[in-house]
Amino acid sequence: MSTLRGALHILAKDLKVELRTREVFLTMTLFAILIVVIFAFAFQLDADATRAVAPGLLWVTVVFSGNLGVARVMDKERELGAFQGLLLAPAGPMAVFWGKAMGVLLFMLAMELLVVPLALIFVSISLPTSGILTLILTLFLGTLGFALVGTLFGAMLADVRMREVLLPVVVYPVVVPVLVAGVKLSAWAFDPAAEEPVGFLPLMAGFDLLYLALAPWVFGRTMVE
Amino acid sequence: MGEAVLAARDLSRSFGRSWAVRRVSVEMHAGTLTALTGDNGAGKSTLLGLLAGLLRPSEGQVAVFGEAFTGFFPADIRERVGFLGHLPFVYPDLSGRENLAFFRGLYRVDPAKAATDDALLAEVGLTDASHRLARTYSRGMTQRLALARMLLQDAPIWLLDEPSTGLDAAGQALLSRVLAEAKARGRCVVAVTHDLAPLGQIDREVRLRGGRLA
Amino acid sequence: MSASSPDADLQPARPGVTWMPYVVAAALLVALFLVFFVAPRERTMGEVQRIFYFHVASAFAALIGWVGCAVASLAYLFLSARQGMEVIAKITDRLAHALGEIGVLFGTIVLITGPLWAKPVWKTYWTWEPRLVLMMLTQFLFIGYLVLRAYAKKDVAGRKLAAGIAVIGGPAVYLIHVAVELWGGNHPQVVSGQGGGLQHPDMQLTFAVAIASVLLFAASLVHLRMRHHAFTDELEDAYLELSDREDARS
Repeated sequence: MSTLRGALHILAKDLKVELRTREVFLTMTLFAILIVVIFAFAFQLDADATRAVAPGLLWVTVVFSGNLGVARVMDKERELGAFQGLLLAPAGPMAVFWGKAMGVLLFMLAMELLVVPLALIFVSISLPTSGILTLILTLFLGTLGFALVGTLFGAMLADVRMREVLLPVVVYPVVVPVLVAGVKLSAWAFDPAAEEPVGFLPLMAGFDLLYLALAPWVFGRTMVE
Repeated sequence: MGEAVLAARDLSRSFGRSWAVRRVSVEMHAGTLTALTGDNGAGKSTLLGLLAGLLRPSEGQVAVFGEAFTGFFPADIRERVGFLGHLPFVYPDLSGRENLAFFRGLYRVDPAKAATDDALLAEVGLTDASHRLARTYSRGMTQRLALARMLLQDAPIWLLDEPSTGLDAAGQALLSRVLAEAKARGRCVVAVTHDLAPLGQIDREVRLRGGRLA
Repeated sequence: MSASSPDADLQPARPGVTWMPYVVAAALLVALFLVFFVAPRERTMGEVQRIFYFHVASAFAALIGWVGCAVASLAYLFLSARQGMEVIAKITDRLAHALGEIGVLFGTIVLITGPLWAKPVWKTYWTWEPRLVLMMLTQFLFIGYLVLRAYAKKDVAGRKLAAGIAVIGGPAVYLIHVAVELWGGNHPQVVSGQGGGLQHPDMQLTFAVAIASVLLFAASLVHLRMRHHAFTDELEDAYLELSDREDARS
């Protein structure tokens, strides 16, 4: 029980700092919007091309800006060594993992809440009402999976030289199932008349469940000596 | 003197091809202040990290209240070890007061026993700056805040790494006063230092040379 | 650690399994002979199809290396926290490291032979075909593992970090596989499907021998690398012992 309390305590602290500085949110959101604009511009999207590219563009944006967000969140913990203080606290490494992971998840969802509608407007693709729920569910499950793996690897690599390169090198391959499922399911959300992509939702849910169990365990085994 | 509160038992730790700490055995008792001294790179901070359970010994054990460990301590032991590292362990985007409130909650401090935030802030001389973000603090003020963070835990064991870093004359006087009080209250204090003066009256100097007891 | 007496400076060299390289070489030569002189020419793809035997065998070796690396890393993370398990933990760590290296080695072979095969058959070196993507992504992940593991050297914390990457990456290999299967693709279904090109018994024999010889090759390399890592660890321990003696002298 003290794990949950500790996690919520850490989460509350992260939210307080974020509401004050808006640093992680602004970093992720600006970067995400830039990705959308540069993509739309570079690929000179017309209406047909948009339909083909939009789902992929959406998920590239989520994954790239998510990576940036994870790195910022960990940088802030490390700045004056407070992360070590968290691990030493009686609440323990599990509380630290869950607190940080919930924070990353919330920051990413907040970013998506702003960026996804903006992206849809930018690339002028319409989202039918029947697809809204699918898109929201997909974004939530996919972001959860990314937050688990991203938080874990972000924390593990925080003290490693070359972490700017190593973090994406190990995070992106692992989250590819989420990326593939996300792209397929969002394409269906934009075009509910098309055939339903079978198996991708269970894949995403399975991914989340697996890493809900595995990521905290690995965190506990690797973050303390 | 009774049983040692904290003991290094034949403790070694290597980094790469050399020993940072080699076969160090030393016992620390309640109500004493032990100064860990030695030249730069003598292994003082490594030994302190080992005693805090932050580093895993390559060989040997750390005994806390008679119980031997080889690595990260369990929660009930971590609770009883206060650690002031060479980094202050605070958040720059929180004020001094908010930092204390956060760590108070995290370390599940018993409100009946511990000093209040106001008292702590007054003790380390940060009352006036308590609402400013820690980011705006000078090096000495940050160190005072870090000291307050460790004090609120009110642990029976204190491990301090160069506690006088950045402190002015008043700050050093504060430090020696706090340490004297800790001794009086039966705390077991270990401080890494290259300068004995700011610590006040020490009970024992443990000198390291090349990772070994000199 | 090493508790040897001061006089036992130089332990006698321990030869490995000396017959192993010859057996491996013979097996690979037999496989090559079968590939080029026994297996019949494939009807639609022609001579280039012969690359298939070593390509698929290497893919097997790579996947076994990666999944094995993840499993051994899992064991390492379990055992490293246990009292009295230090020796076994060290072995699992070396095994994981060696399997990771061999996985990346054979992954590289797959990623080289694949395009060589693809160019004449698919008219392109590279296509974003799901199974290629699986291979390449897993390769990236385990290159990350090797970089981290190399960076760790003797440092236990660094070794655990690398092991953590492998533990997370292992199931990801399977999930990526599931994802790309669902995604669908045009990779030749020579192995799983019945309608593939291996109807001729000589082809099946060649395929079986190629797989056996490549896996034997991979196993012998894992064995060699594990010995290498054991020696490296011993060497590092010897440096520590040396610094002890220098201290004792001064």
